[in-house]
Amino acid sequence: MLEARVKKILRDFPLDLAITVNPGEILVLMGENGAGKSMTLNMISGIIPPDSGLIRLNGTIFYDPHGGIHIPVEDRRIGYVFQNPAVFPHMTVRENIAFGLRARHTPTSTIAGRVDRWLDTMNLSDLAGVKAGMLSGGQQQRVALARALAPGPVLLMLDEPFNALDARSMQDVKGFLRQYVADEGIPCILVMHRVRDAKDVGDRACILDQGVKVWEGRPGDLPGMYLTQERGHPARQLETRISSLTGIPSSITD
Amino acid sequence: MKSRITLSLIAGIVCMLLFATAFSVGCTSGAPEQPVPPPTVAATTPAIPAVTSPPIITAAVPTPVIVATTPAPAPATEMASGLVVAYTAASLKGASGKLGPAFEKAYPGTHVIFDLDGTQILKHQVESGAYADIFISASNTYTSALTNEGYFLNDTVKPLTSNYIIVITPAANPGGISSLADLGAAGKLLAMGTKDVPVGINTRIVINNLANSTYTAGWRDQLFRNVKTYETTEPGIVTKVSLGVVDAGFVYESSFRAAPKGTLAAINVPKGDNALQTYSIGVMRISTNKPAARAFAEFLLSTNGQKILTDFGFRPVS
Amino acid sequence: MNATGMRPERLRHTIAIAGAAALLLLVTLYLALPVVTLFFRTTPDLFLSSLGDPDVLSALWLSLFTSTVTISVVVLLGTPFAFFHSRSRYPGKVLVDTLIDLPLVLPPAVAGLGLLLLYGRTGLIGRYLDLFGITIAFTTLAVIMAQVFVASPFYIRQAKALFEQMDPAYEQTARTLGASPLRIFLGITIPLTANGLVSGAVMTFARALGEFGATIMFAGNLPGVTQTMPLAVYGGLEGNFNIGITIAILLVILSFAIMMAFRFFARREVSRA
Repeated sequence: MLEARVKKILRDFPLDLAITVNPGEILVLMGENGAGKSMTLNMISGIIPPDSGLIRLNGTIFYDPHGGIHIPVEDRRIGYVFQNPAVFPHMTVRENIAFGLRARHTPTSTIAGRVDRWLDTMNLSDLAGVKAGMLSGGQQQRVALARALAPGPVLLMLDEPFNALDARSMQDVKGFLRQYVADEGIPCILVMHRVRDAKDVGDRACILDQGVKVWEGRPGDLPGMYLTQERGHPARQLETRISSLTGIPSSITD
Repeated sequence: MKSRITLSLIAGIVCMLLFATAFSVGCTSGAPEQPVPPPTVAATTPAIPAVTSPPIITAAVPTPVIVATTPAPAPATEMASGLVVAYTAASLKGASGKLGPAFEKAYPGTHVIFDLDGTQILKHQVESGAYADIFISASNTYTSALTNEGYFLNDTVKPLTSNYIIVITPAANPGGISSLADLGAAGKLLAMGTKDVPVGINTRIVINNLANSTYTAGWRDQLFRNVKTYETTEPGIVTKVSLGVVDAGFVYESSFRAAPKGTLAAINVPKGDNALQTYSIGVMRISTNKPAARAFAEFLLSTNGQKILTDFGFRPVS
Repeated sequence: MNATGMRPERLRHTIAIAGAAALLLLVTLYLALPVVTLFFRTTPDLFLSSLGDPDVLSALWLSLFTSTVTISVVVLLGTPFAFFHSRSRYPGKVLVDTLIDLPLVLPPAVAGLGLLLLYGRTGLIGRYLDLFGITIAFTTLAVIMAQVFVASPFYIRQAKALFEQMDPAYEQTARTLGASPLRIFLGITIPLTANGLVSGAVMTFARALGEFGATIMFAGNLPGVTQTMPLAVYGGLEGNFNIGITIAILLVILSFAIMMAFRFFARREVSRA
């Protein structure tokens, strides 16, 4: 289980957040651009240090300023795919997927088999020897996913993983993710902005706005959960914002 | 459309060729002889026709005022005015600072520009078409060559001044060189001119004389092993010694005498072994300001000019 | 319709193209003719025969040797330096930034004088070296030092810019995958910037090869020890004109060869990524 409480003063607002994700559970993070979603992931992964807080996964403390603990990125064994999939363009698909295994000095004999399995799972076997820089956006995203998962991470975080995928691949990946996370029993955080996607894969969802969590609940409960008519009510303003964000018409009419 | 582009390209090329021709016509001088065997492909060289016409100055020198020259060599002192470009051996650098203003004072309306460099370099530039009114050469060899090649007005070529070779050390004398013999001791750092710069030519003559008369061939060999740099100009040697980065250098007496007091020490070379460097001055045939050029030459040869030269450590021609 | 029989727009268009063509030719010829002229001032026989001249050979060898050492030093030391400099914030970083650019604007003779006054026998550092019997001025080492001084900004600035502009996502992803800093630097950072680094190295090599002012000031002019090709050209002009021309032509050929070779490699790099 992942517990993350983080505080950080950002340029436009202070970020103050506490989230928990259970093993085998997918948490969907939503919110406008600049709300702090990617920053949260960066802090959990260790790329950017928070100002204060506590980050703990399965009992192992990643970050605790009082205890003087700050485990570096390299040692957290987190699978993290950025919005820009950042496949290494000069390496082949196979080399990309094998990268994390090689970096952790996995025995060479194990690497080949594991990479092959992932190539198969992600439908990339035909492209195994192709330089990743030559792939399409959707193919690169699949490579990035396989690369993150091949080393068997203890936590998975994906930032907008469906952006470049076509409808068919998207369904496949969604199904795969649900299965994988459940089978492996690891917590998973997905950042996305389409409510439909959130409903498809998420077990829980929360909405960030200006660095704070303004809503948390089941994905099925997204828009339409606040029916208050009060114009000035913050929840209603929020729903209007969500609807502009997701493109789904607000349930509030007047 | 295609024919339009072709037409434009042809127009452009024609413009370019015209421009290039005009450009090169100005740049080529009517140099009578090349020191190098003519290249076999000269005929097909684009846009460099050999045309004798009023040349444009190369080197960093402004365009001279074109003065109407009279064919008869009448005394020109009253008519001297305008710009005088003097290609001058580098060792006259210090003296030139006084000679220029003195001449301009004596002949108001004139302006002298000195182009100072190793004589060998200046000679080459002139042979490549550089413009000069006056040429002051530091070596008889180069003077003769230029005369034979027809660059001078022959009746104006005269010995100007002379110089002897001297050995200088930094005042502190870090190399402990107190005699000519020490130059041939192992482990010294020496500087001298290249074999083509006049000071270098004479240095070698001096060293050979000394080896034959007093010291041995072994002394000479070690001396050359001690040489760490061959400078292309005489002031360059002086600089290296002044900075103290070499133990000694072979330069002109004039440089030693003109140096600020206390910066250099010197070891004389016996007269019998020394090589007298004779500087010559001449008016250039291609000069377009011959009255002023003649006046300048006369001034340098006059008592006033010679006094300035002696002040700077040069010896009058005997 | 006017005298040329073209419509006004067509005429303007034609003039524009003619002007562009003329400008193109002007620039090309201005750059090419001085180089081409070198070849016309000698004959193939003279050129080939003077190739055997010991001064020519020693100048050629010395130039290639010193420039190669220079580029090796600059790349080996300059790459990590540029990397750390671009990735970190430290007090005085702006000053260091300016210093890196300094040799670019400093006249080479001034650089040479500075080196001489520092490392020469009477210099601030030189005097201590002299106590141990170590001389730097007038040695081949001095040639290399002069070249490194004037040429290194070409590479370091390029490397610095490349590292700064690189998308941090690649390195950060590699970190999440557990890669050590060395693995990231060698396996990710360098390959992704290799293209630009190579072109920076080419500039540096060419600059080092052509270095004259600082060399003749600090290293002096001694055949076989410090007389690189540019010095030999200058010195060869008076006495042996053919030697001067030959060395100049060799420099031209070398420069072209360098440019060709690296353009070839650069193109291959681009097609990989």
